[in-house]
Amino acid sequence: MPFDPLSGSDEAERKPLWQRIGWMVLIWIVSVAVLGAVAYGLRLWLK
Amino acid sequence: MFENADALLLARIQFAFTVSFHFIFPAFSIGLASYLAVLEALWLKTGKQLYQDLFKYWLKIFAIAFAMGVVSGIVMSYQFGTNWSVFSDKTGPILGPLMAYEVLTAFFLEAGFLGVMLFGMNRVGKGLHFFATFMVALGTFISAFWILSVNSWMQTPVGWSVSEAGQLLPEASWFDIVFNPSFPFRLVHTVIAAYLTTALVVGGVGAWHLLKDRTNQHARKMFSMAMWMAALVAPVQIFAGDMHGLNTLEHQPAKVMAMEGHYESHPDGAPLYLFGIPNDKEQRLDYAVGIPKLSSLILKHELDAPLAGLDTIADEDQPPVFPVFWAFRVMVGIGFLMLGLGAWSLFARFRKKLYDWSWLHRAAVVMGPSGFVAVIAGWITTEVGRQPWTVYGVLRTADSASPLDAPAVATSLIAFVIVYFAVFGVGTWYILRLMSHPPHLGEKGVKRTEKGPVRTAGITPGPTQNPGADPDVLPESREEATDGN
Repeated sequence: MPFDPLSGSDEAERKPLWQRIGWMVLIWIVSVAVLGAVAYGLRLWLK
Repeated sequence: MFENADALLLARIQFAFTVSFHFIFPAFSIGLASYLAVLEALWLKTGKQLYQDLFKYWLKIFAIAFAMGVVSGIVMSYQFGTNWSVFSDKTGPILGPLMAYEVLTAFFLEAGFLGVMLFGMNRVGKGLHFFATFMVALGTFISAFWILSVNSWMQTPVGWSVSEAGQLLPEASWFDIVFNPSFPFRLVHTVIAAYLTTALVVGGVGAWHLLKDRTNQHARKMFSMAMWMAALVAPVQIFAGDMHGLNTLEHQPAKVMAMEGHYESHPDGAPLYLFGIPNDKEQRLDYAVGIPKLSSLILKHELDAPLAGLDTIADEDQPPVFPVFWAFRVMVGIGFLMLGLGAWSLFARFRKKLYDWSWLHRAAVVMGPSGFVAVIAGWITTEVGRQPWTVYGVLRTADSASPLDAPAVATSLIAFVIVYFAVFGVGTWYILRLMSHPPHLGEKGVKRTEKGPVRTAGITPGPTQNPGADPDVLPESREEATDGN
């Protein structure tokens, strides 16, 4: 299946705002954590 | 093997290599993030499928460029500790907080919201998704703001005092340190350069696909938007560059002397040298070709204004002239080529031939990567031009390096060269591969492998079957078929 970053918006719009904001916070935290892991890995490599 | 090598020179080569590699990606992603925000805003405002398709097309490319930019940037931060620990120790009280703000921006605005931008649409909806796109664009700008403030303070340090331990401490207000004398000029010049770099890449890709199929509506739209950017912003950039040069003359005159190739002072008006071979040993410009008094006119706005040369600067405080002189000419030359391309596109637009003139499209393809060359040449001009200092007039480069032996620095340099070419080489190859696929109706994702134009269902004509159409406007029936995705 091709990855479509803009699919499913209509389905999402039907959900309550608090739920959508909750998802945004969750994805945001996971994204920051992933970069943190990458940065820590680079730090170990350069140590 | 490297016992007799110069550790300082190797550390400088390593920094030059990694920072040059790194800057290619933010030079692209700063502009592309804003372009994506514009495309998504246009999609939400107009509901046109065309903008959504272009957003998806460039989002894939942005994600890869952004990832490579962040990863190579993190390595830069660590390198301050590995190879430039004395510099970090001495300047840490001032530059540490500014660097920290940059890193926080990269993590919490750019990377965090990139996840929402890539994976969040089916969870957060259109409004919050656009908010995330806007935050990424804002994050790239704020990230540039802080890192350019750091660099500018190193070029024009103000508001510091020296502690008993030899550290540079903040003395004036942080406002003075952040907005040091060269910062506003460098910020404007660099950010505009990033926008122009992106515009030329987008224009080059659009032109490439127009050469294959000049009826491709998506290629038309991206080429048109990019050429507007080149036509309107290239003149602004030349003006901003001139202002930046005048600021440099005021605060770092030796750099401007090297840029101009002025070894000797000119009390009655200095020539603008177009060509020459700088000869640091003999302190002269060999084979010089110049226009009399023009440099005085540009720098002092007066034909007979005196201009001091490098003969007024002590030998140990002079930058190496050759790389500064030629990098500056490469940057300026490309800037004027961008201006020419923008003007050509305006003329073609006026003649209603923007999508028909193959030579214009070929020129845009050739100019596609020129922004990267220009920004790297610009950074060589400014960074080599401020030598032999890391903090101008305060801390010498020779006194900034870590007390490492040459083999240690050489080993990490070799590792960087291998890893960078392997990792970022693959990433760049993948970006070029994505760009080689034409943008099309119903753009999906990275795994799509269809060749040629894509037809929608039903009897609606495909883009290639409707060559005279306005690229902004899709046929009514197709609008209905594709809107609201």
